[in-house]
Amino acid sequence: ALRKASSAGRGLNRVHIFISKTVIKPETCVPCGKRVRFSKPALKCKECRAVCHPECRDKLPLPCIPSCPSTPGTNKLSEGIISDFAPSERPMIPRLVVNCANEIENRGLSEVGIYRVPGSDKEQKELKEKFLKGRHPHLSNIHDIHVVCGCLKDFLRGLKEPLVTFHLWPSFVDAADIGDRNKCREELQHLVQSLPQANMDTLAFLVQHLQMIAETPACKMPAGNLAKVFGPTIVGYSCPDPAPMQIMTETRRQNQVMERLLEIPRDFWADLLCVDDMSLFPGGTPYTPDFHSAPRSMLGPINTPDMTEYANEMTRTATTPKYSTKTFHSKKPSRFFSSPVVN
Amino acid sequence: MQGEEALPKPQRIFKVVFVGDSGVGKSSFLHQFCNHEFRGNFAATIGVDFQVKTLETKTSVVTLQLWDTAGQERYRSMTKTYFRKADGVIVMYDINLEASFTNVRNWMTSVQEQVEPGTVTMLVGNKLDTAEEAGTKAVKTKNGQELAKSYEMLFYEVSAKTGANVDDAMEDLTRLLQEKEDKKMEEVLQLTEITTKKGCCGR
Repeated sequence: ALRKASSAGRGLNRVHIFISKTVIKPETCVPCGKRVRFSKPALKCKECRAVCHPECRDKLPLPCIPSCPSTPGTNKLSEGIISDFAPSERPMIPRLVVNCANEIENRGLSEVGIYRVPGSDKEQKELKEKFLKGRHPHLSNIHDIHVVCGCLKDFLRGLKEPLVTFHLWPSFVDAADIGDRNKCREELQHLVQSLPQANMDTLAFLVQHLQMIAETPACKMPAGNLAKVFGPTIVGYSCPDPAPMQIMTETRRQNQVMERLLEIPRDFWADLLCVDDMSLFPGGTPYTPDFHSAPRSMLGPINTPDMTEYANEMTRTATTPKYSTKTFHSKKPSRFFSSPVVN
Repeated sequence: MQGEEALPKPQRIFKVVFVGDSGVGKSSFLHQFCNHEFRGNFAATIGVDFQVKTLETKTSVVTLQLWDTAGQERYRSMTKTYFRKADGVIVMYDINLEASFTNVRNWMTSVQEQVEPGTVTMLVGNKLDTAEEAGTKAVKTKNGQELAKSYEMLFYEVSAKTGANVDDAMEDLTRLLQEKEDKKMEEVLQLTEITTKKGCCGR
């Protein structure tokens, strides 16, 4: 039931891989927002580079999305294609996309006109910048949920190339125009599967997220409305700098593509995101067995998880494949933290 | 001047462009103004929509060409091209949404970049009905008035749902559009008179 409630497919249950370090330069703990003081120990996830107090480790939001390979900090990064922002292993979905979508599913599902109504321009830009700089902004601190939506939209729109790629853009448009619904769907599914990995993963994740919103009547954002909003954002135009006339003619077509994509059943998208568990743990065994990882859905909890709640869930759901509660308890942090050792 | 009166009245056409954040009710306002009904389907506009409404005023018959633009961010670059040759621009915000009011300044910046000086602008706060019923009014009338004053705009608070103030606002706009054009015509006439007088001797 949990799995159905969330929008994305499986595969997004990557856990953090903590290494411990002693803080010299002041750092902020991501979950609690407080400083980690000088010479105090801190945990840092070696994948996503989030830092936290040792006692806050369970509150670090999941899933862990590894930082993109290119060094963060360069502002030019804001003009890349999707794979420049995505982790190098599957599911290749940028952290900004997953975190924003999670936050929106958490508290935006009662908001009329979600994704349509814009937030403050300035706040949106600031938030996007934080993500692109490799930081871990606190989305729950952002009062206006439309800012979070705007950030996600702005990010997708600002990509050098739309998710469907310039190369396949004409094929997508033609496929969406096929009168026979079944044939149209088949063709589109085929095209989606021929997209580069990061494009495919991100698209699959987003479509499921949008389908969830479309099914929430309180939002007043049925698929038709969402398609109008996300046509320019996800499908985009056939070239980098479309002329105004081109924008006019291509707008309706991109809208149609988006509508058809949203009509493809959720199972198809979920299957695309179904990453073999082994690929999540290259070593075969997870380094840090974390309470929340297995029984929760792929999106993982966003809010501070209640430990007791998870403990209960553990005993009830027997789907935890890799590790038992016993192994978890028997392990002390010092055993699997590489360097330097915390006492 | 006698000859001029004998001619059939020139029917004036004014181009009016609607802009504002997505979801503030531009299309609903237009629909209320043109068809006197409220749709409330909350459907987003793609690109740009177009309506024509003919009004009879005391002095003449005026046709308004109403351009309803999409509020979505992506279309903003395109919206700009519609400001060209616009006689009037209506910037709309949602009284219940502070952000939509804050964004009016952004809209005005792009409006002022594109339109010719002397274009009539009007600031409209929509959804007066929900603001009164649910008490969710986030933008004070005073703030709206002040902003409108700073840009020398007309100002109205309306409800596209109930139709309150919709016709008043549009009539006021039409009146101003006419006045501006009358003034322009006069100026043009004066200008030609002056040039013909100077014509032969020049410099």
